[in-house]
Amino acid sequence: MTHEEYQKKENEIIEEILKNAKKRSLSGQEVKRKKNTISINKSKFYKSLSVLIATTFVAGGLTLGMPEKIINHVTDKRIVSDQIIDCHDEVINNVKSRTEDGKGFYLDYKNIAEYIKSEEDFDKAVYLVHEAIEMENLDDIDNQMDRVFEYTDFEDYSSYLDARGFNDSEEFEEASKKEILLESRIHDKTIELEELNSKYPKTDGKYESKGENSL
Amino acid sequence: MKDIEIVEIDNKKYGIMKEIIYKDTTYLYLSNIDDNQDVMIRKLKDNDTIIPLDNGKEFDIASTLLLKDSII
Repeated sequence: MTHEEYQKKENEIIEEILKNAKKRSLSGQEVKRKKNTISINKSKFYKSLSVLIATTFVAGGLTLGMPEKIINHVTDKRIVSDQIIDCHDEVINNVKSRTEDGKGFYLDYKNIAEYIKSEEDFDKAVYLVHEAIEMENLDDIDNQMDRVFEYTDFEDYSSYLDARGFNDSEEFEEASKKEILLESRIHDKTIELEELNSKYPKTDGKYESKGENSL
Repeated sequence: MKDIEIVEIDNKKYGIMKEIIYKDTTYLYLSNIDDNQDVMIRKLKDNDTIIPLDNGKEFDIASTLLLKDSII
């Protein structure tokens, strides 16, 4: 599937969700609020919220002619959060165990460190793990990271940041986020360029002739 | 894990993912627990009754509120 086809398909899905959402929002039964609660996986929560936002994005944003800058801002947010959610699902969720009293849970820091070390892009893995652990609402995220770094060549999280030339975690997070966005844009633009090149092939700096009158 | 409030509408369970108060109205943003592509917006009447929105215009307003909330 080409990049354009993928985007078209995604837009069709969102438009279908929007159409159904509008229909359901305006009809159906009245119900009493009972304040019943359930616990759901955080990544499931964020994915559902993300669908809701994407739907309202089309309904409330594009119909109001929102500026491209805002549209890009929302898209950027989704690009980064999708990767964090994937890391949460595939890494953090698999190393979580319930405490004996069943009230809390603990993480297998050694396994998380092994994951980071096995990744081609070590620094990006550190960032994604940091954000994915944060999704668990654990106290003192830097302390959680210190425990992960016990199983690496670094003494702790702050010595890792120091070694990489960052003043603090915020600076590191900002740089990592920016890198993910730029990588994603490069990836998308590369696909676009490939599609353009395949539509209008070039040889020696010239578009290939398709007619008889070319020079 | 995250605790969310659920409501049953038309025999389906929806989680209240977000609540936004605008002027005198509280809007609820709901997502089907078993199918996250099934979403809807409702509002509160008398603080304890969840009712459908009045019309398409109100849907657009409520959508814009969530959109703004997610950007800021």
